[in-house]
Amino acid sequence: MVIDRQEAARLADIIRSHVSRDFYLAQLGGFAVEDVALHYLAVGATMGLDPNPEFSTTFYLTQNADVAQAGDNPLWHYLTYGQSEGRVAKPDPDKAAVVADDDFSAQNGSILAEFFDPIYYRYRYPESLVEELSPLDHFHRLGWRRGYNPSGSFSTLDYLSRYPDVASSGLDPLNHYVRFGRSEGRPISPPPALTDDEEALRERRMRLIAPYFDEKYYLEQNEDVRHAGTSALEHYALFGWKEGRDPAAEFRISEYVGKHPRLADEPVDPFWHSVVMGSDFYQVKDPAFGSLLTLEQREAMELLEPHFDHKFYLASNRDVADAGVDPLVHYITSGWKEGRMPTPAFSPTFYLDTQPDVAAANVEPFWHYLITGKSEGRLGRHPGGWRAERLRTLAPLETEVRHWMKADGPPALLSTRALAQILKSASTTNGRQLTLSVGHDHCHRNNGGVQLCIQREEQIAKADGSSYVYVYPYQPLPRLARQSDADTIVGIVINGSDAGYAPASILAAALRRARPDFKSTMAVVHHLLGHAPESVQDLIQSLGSDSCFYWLHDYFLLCTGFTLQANDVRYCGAPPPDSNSCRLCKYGDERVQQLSRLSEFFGSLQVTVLSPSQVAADIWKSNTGLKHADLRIIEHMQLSARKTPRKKTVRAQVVTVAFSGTPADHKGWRVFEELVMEFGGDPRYEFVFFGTAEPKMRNLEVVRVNVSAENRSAMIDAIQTRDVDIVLHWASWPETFSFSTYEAVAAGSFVLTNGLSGNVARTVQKTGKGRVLKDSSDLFEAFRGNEISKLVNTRRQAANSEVFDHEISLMSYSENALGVES
Amino acid sequence: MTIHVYTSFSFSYLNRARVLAASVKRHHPEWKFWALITDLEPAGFSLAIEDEDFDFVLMATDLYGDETERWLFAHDVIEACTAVKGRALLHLLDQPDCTGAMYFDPDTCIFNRLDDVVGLIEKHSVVLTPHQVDPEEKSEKRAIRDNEITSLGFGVYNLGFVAVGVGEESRRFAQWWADRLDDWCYDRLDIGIFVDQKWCDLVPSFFEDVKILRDPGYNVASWNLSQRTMSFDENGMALINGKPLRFYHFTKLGPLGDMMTQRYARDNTEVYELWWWYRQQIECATDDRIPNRYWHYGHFDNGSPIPKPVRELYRDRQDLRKAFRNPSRTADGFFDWLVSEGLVSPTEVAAAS
Repeated sequence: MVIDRQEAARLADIIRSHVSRDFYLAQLGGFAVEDVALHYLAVGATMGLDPNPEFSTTFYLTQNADVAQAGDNPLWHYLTYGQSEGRVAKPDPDKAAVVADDDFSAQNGSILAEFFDPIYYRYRYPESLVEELSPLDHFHRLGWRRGYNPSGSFSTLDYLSRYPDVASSGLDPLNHYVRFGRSEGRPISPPPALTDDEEALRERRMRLIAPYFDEKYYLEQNEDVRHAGTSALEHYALFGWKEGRDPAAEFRISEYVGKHPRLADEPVDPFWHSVVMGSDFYQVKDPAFGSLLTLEQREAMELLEPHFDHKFYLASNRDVADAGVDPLVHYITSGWKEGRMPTPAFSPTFYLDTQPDVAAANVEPFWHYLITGKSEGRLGRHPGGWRAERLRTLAPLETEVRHWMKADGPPALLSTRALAQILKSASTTNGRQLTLSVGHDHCHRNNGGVQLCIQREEQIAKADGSSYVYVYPYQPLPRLARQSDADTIVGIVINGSDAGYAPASILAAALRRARPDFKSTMAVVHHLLGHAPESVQDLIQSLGSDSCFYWLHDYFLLCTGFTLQANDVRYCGAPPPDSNSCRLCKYGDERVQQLSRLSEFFGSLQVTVLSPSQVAADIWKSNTGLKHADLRIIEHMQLSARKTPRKKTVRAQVVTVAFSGTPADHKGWRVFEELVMEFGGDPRYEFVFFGTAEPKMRNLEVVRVNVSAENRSAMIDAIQTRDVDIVLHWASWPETFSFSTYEAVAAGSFVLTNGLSGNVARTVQKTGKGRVLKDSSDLFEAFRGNEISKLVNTRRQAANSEVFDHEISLMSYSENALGVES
Repeated sequence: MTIHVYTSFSFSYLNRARVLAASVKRHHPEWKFWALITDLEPAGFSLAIEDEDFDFVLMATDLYGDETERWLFAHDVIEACTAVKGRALLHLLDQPDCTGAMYFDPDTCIFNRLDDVVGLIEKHSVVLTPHQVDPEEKSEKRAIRDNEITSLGFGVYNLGFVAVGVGEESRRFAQWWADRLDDWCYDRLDIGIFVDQKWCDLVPSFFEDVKILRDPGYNVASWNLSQRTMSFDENGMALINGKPLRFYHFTKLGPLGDMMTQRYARDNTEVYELWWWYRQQIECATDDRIPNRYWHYGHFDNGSPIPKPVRELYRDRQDLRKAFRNPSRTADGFFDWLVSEGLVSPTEVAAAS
């Protein structure tokens, strides 16, 4: 019976004074229920609980088939109609026609022994313990309604579906069979074999007790187990509890059974019982997870069980997997409130956000979806996938700017004199040349390709006896600084050491003073994010020159959204700023201002644009209107193939698939995640992440790798050591260079990518090391079939005969940049 | 010569009207935009037309004069804001420089120029956009119910848009529409009427040279997304089924609209981008001084809300209309009569005051 909350409250008011709290709770084995009337309405009647000693739910429903059929609450029916119609509330002991339960078992004892097996029942349905009823009582009152079988020889569901008269009578089918069916010669069937289920059940129980099981203690106490070298937990689950061996120092089996004497005769591990029942022990060990499963939660678990994706839940929630908690229990008790998804097709957050009525009812959303939402046409997950989900919470650019703002006030600022003094003293040891370099963040405190390039230049300058003055905005921003904030505060790093902070105008004045102490100067712009281009122009001109280099590390010269992802979800290709695409984009308004300021910057200076790849140069050239002195291509890294006899290694068939670098959407991290989810358990593959981030996923090995100017080959070495077959680089924008692709190829791996990925695809095509696929469905198809193993076989042969040497460029100091003919 | 464009709204929808007007001005700065307002300003707020993209403001009182309040009393807010569209159209056509007129619902927004429509009204009397222009598949039961069956109930053409020329037949249409809306602009699905919209099912039969505009780029909305796909071309132009997106109808901003959009846009991410943008625009255009769901004509002058059944009673009973000329004014006696008849609870008055 599905009734809404208002209706339930109305019915509860009618029956409330007839539900005896103590009497009712006693049947629940001490579970806390706040409103017993509501509980009886919602689940109690279905469970066969009685509201008071004078009213038998089961009796009333069996005697009054019309009430059972209508789905009415029996007590409500009795109070509203039944009583005045002379219907009877409970069995009359004087009337011989009604067979009481006790009589029933006494009279039919031998027959029952044949068809009811308490050991089977407890073992098969351990949750029956929760209701604190004897196995037979449990079956008689609740179990058969849930489709439980009384033994391995009688299938409840088969009996009910075979005999509709029994199903509509509301009688317990075993009761019917023993009293009537048997003598009427009705055939019965055994339930399906349970071997697999039993195994799964044992595993589930083990998982449930694992977090509380004290392995060390168990091994200390049980020398035989220690000597046998078997798993302590497994030993306990299979034998230990039956032999009375305690699972933890704080938990005494004998003590617990003393408190729950019925357990002495039950085929059930008392420790598991204490975990399920939420005993004190369980709560003390893990207060966060120790709350009892309410009856509603257990009912919900039954409904969810067939739809809940255990594998997916564990794969996407490493913490749950690590804790060994039953994933469904975790989801029911806390996971859904934390927005964790029970299956890839259902998002609790999305459902609650888009269905305000469900959110207001404060019910578990997946349960709501299964019970009613789905049939009402409600969607369990945004059909637009992660992009549409992202758009639901996408902040306008200026909101994002506010989030970026530092809370602390301005830093201590250097004076012109102090700064000029620092520069002067640098000139005494590194006086050959002064390079002013401009970037978007601290190049030593952040990881990434751009930062590596800057570090590389700094290294070269120092080795050459020159000085490298690196400047970044004190306040980082996702756009240019406003012109009104023209005197931006910048952080200054001189020859690798932090010099301090100063307004850009102070730095310009200091550079003017210190300039004569250096033999020559040059200016390199790596990024303008967070800077006011007007200030940067002033800085460059303070060196006494109008020339500078500008590196195309990304497409910031075309748009504020420098990876050209409109609204962070779609590659746009930098169309005209007044196009629909730009007007609808979060970067659209800012882009117009930015392009006009960049036009001024490029118009006032002699800018030589340096591109790390032909792809990036082509894209920029065909979309820009900026005046520039020259456009030159300098690849950050050169690969050269070398044939070499390598020892043939004997390798297992398993294919190693990796993601290296920053796990960002535009680098294809989402696609990699989906691959791990889908193929993580597939014995053909293993997945590894290389980088400084720490993604937490099941079936994903994380190898920490930090590439720096000092250890430039760290990634290549790591990939080589692990002998990775495939590196996935599923970029959703045209990468201007992609160190990770070059590193993968240099390490002898193959790269999988798509046609949009710019220099990634170009490099794969050029080297032949990998495959450029059409779209992600092709990618998943390749993993499902045998295309990946075929590709890997090619790689393994090639890796045995060919390696790539790599050479890192001199960046802005390379001959090509400087225009020197080699 | 000039195209005159108008939208009709109460102050609660001022934000939407602003977004629409800005979009019209962006693509057609040469057109004149009229804000047709069936409302009075809330306390603490006054509309400064010089700060708006509206060229003219037309109030319901300009069209109905002294009769305004009495006439409006028979309508709820949706009925009222649609009923005034007829007389307003005649008013626009009467402008000396008018070479054509178009109506847009306030929750529509223009994305590319509408020169084609200007061309059409030179040759046709009336241009209408159907809710759907392509049938659903037989197996798509839910879509048939949501889209086609709904159109059968509420009207084949969406009256969030209509364009007319200045010829004789156009004027004949405008006069007929205005006449019907004067007397019959109600939400009365039981007798086959749905405000100003269902009437227009008759237009192709009643008038010559009616153009049913079947281009998928016009009046795109959740009710036709099942058959329309949005994309961008290499120049960033928004396309619907490969044709330029002309205007989108952002019907039902909120969870219900979201649900219908998701149901039919599915994984067409561009549609969600469009909605994202619209939400931002509406937020920027919202004036916090206008109370939520505000409508001046929604209350008696003592602050008590006017229940829909009371409006229906008034519209159905000629004797009441005769006896009470200013029904929303308590001094007129209608309110007291309602209380004495038990049709309005005095406690509601207390609560409202």
